[in-house]
Amino acid sequence: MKYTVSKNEVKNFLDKLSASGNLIAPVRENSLVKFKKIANPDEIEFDYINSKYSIKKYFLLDKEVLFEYDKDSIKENIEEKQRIFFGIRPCDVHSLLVMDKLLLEEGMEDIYYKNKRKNSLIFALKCSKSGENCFCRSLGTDDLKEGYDLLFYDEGNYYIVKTGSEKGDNFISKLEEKQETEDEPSDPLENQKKLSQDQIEKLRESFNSDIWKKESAICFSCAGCTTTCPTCGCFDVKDDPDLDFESGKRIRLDASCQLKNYTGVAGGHVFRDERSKRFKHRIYHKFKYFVDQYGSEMCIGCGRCITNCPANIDMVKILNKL
Amino acid sequence: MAKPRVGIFDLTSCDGCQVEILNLEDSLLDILGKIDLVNFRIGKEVKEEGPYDVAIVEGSVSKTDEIERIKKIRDQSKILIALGACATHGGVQANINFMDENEVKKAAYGEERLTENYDVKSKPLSHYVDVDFNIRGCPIDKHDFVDILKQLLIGKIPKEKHNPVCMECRYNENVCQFQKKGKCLGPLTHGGCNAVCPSNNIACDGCRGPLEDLNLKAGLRIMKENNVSDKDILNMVRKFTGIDNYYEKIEELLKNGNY
Ligand code: SF4
Ligand code: SF4
Ligand code: SF4
Ligand code: SF4
Ligand code: SF4
Repeated sequence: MKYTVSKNEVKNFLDKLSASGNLIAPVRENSLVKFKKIANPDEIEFDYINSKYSIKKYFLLDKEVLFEYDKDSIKENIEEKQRIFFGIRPCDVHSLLVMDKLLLEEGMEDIYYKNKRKNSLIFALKCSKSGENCFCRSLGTDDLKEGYDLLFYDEGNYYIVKTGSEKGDNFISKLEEKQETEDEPSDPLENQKKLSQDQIEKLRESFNSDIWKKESAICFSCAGCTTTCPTCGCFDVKDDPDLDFESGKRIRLDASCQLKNYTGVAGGHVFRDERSKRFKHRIYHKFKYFVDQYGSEMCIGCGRCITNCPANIDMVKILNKL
Repeated sequence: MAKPRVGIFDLTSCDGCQVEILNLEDSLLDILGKIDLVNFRIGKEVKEEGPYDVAIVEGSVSKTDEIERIKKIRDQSKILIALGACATHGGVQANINFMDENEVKKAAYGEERLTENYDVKSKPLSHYVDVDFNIRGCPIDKHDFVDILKQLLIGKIPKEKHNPVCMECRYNENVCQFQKKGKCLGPLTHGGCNAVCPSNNIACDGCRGPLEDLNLKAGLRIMKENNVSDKDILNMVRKFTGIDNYYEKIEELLKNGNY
């Protein structure tokens, strides 16, 4: 269903949500917009170019205790608290849908992720303008058909709000000033980076190209790209025993395919020892391997790997050179 | 099973990393319950001779008699762990490797105490002996010390992550120093410090040591793109790092504009 809702009414709505203590939304902090827990809705930044750092940290932490154990028992560390995310950009909602494919595959569900996901409400906010590294249009991730409870479109003086779930319907039904509408929301995004499907297809013949060596010459393998990519989810698992050696914790730690020892195996062999192989792997994973496995790109076009690369490496530029 | 015999030793250093071990307080007592600490100058009276199961050595090798000491400790120990930046890659005193030796000697020891014994080059342990594991930083993170002992005590081979500071800098949601037109050794430096310097808006000076897999030329390139002078780069590099041919290599790359 689609409604028009006044901005004032949305503000009141967020007021109530923030009082619940479960609202997470974009906040401007110095020059950066970050997702944070909101106590007062006046803190919320509505007009922002997508955040430099994504909401991945709420679903797949860089360091997470999975369970604690002692001699007789295991205590799972399951997040039961409900959280409401307001103001997530469409591309980032798509990143959750990508993560779902990876972590919620039937029979192999990641229960830690699953619970965080299950207990999260997604109130997305469509962009009015693009960042300099955005290319969602090219990948069809600039809008949403699924993955949201509510989806807000800023129409200047009011919002058009789409409901995408029963929970979303429930929230909307509590709003007093709303009107059902058949209007299509406006779609003002322009000036994006462009990446065509034909260009992506070229990866299939480019595995042995010398472009990877050339372009990776300035890469540090610093993992700034994978760390900030909302669809990079690789992790390592480590046990941390207490000093009595009878109890302890199992911890999950963020990992990155850009690091050399990521493909290290027993005996000391490293499969992707060369920087260029690791550099290439990230791009192939996003645009080929994942497509072969799940039928769509893993990359959602948020441009963070470009924005956050200390060496200013631009994956889209490289793909367009193929 | 007998408790492993562990010795903590110091060469040329400020003792700061050993103090960090003392700062462990509560868990230190738990650790002492699991090991037989037979040598620890700043924490314990006893001083037993080897052999040791584990030797943990703070400090760099900066005097001729220390060369003999570290070799003897190595011979007497099954496992040798370098403790802190001095031991892992030279430390602050490694600056003297790039200064006039006689000037430094005089300033440090005075004319009358100058003897042959002061070979002022400051070298990491690995310059003279094989090192099995590193506990990095200036000073160390005391939890790394506990962690490595725990891994050894349960019979695991301690594993380093080998990630650059940048990775942790991102977890902390910082704006990169380079995007602020600054300088930083983060991409070339071992993480594990939770990127404490850039997270407080200070450039990383590389106290955890150069990464094995670093891309030196890329690091120099980005510094030069950010208009950092050769002198500033070299000063940063030498602040903690006295590894053989590291500084010299960077000096040469800079001189030839080869980055
Ligand atoms: S952020 Fe840039 S320099 Fe760092 S690993 Fe990724 S591509 Fe390489
Ligand atoms: S690969 Fe880059 S553009 Fe694509 S989702 Fe990851 S960070 Fe965003
Ligand atoms: S990639 Fe698209 S959806 Fe994401 S922030 Fe940019 S414009 Fe918005
Ligand atoms: S500030 Fe330094 S450590 Fe942080 S990302 Fe930039 S280069 Fe890396
Ligand atoms: S950021 Fe760099 S200088 Fe600072 S503690 Fe970490 S490794 Fe050392």
